[in-house]
Amino acid sequence: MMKLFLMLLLMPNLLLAELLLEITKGSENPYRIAIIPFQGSSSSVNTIVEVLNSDLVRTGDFYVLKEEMLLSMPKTIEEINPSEWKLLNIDFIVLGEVVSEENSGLKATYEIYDVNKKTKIRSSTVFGIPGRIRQLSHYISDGVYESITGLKGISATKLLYVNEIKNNLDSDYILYIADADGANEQVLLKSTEPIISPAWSPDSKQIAYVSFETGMAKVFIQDISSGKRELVLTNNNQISSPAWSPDGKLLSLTLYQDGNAEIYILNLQNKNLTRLTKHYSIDTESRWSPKGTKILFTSGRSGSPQLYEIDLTKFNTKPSRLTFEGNYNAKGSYLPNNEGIVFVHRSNNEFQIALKYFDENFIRPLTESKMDESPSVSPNGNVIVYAITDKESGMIAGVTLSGAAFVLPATNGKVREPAWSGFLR
Amino acid sequence: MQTRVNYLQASFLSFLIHACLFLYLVGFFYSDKQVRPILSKAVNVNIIVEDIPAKKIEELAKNIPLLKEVKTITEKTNLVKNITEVPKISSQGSIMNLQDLINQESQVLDSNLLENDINKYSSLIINLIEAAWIKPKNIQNNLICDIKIKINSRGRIVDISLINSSGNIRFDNSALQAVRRVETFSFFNEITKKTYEDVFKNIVISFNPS
Repeated sequence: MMKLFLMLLLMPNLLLAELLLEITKGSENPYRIAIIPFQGSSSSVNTIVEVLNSDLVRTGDFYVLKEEMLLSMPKTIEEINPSEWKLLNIDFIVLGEVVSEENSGLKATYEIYDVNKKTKIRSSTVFGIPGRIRQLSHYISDGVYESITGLKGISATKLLYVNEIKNNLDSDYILYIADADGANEQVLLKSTEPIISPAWSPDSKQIAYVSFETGMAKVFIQDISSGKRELVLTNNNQISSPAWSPDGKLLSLTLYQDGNAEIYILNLQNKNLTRLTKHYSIDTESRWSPKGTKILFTSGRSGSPQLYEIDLTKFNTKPSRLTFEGNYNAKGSYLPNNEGIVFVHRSNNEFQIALKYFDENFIRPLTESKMDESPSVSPNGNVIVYAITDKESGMIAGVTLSGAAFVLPATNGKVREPAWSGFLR
Repeated sequence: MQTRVNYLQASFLSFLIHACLFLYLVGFFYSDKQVRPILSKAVNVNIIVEDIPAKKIEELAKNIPLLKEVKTITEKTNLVKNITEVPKISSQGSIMNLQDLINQESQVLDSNLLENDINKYSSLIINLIEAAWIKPKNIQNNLICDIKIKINSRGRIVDISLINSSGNIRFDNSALQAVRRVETFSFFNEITKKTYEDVFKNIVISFNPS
């Protein structure tokens, strides 16, 4: 029952204070949306509807009405009969047109109609590279998502991941870049030695990763468009777990310099190294806070792997422990709004992805598989991708904070270590 | 011999104790005149009943809004006098006349009507926003955000501002989207101009699901 909370005075002449109304409940059902097949060439139109459908459903915030359930196919906003859509309990209708222009490539215009308000809430035009109809579709779905939820969409972002393909007794390791839905997979690096810990630069134009191609764990930085790569440190130590600072000037790394894993910060301009941790236990898997003022890392200093945070703004400060539930909490990442962390948590010998808000004293398990690892948070903070692995195979799965779960299309081999880019548009 | 003396002594002592117990039980040690112990001395208290001056009562009466015009009558003789001389004394402002009473009742009725209107339209606003609000999952408990909205006389929301963030962007956005989705309150044409100006022109919506 709704709770009416009126803070008002009886006398009209004293009604200087504003009326305060309290909203205590809302729906947890997803938005119901109908996508009318776009006008244009049939192949493009089918792809657009298919990509829009899967992009929006994957967010967990939308229910998309099946095409066969559509009562009519309005070509313009004016042709929409709101009462007809109310019967289907539809909140929004998307309709549009795609044209292929010789000079400017693909062009699509789309409109979003709010059935409850009986009005158009967005009209937009997007442009795409010729032949890249999926990319154009992702732009449209991000526009739809943002118009309705108020949050930036992540369909047009990219993922990095490593695929290990067994080849008799040996393995090939391939570093891939793909769209956020797993399509449009492209090879960035292929090696016969392991590749681990891929990480994006803040502008998403470069990547860092650990390659064992020299016989030791070494960190490389690679430019995505040119493929040009560079070894970040040439000393004789094993180096792993690169993570870029938000301003792109620093790289945090794990160095095995004294025979023990410690976290260092490398200045990418002058190559100066600054030691951040000093403890006889292992300190590794560093991640920068969104503002670059703190570093999250995994440490065994309490006897089991736990997550710690070190404040870079305070001199000589001791790391503070963030996780206390269970005897394994590792591979942590900050949420983009710095409200909490996402990490791998062991519970009953099962490794799950969990979320902990800083202002709460408990964790929220997000997944239910047995061996989930390497979580990476989308730039809007709403989706987490992670690797599901067993002895033979590995896949990338995702979970949204709305509760929806998905698995990206299976590829041959053992896929692992996904890393989500920043916003690319 | 010594043993025999001891037995005699013990028997005598036992007799004394049992005799005392018997006397105690039959009330031998009580008397009607016995006074209970006094724990504290009695204190004499003089209660002085002071007449409150008429002026003071009038001042108190002024502080009660609905009885602003009512003058309190303190003495029976004055009451009789006032009743017998209503027109004259009323003109001096010492007591209300019939018209004042009617006005006063009318004010109270107006006030009740206003309150009913406010309740009714507030409920409608709340219903519409609650229907439009898709509450995000997996958010912290106890999140609250306040949104101030400005509504024009036709019921269209013309300004939305987040005046108190919950600190969670997903929660804040969902609340903002809920208000944006409503856009127009179609029943505003039923609201009187004065009620609209006084109450519904600017509203603060607090989203508090906890």
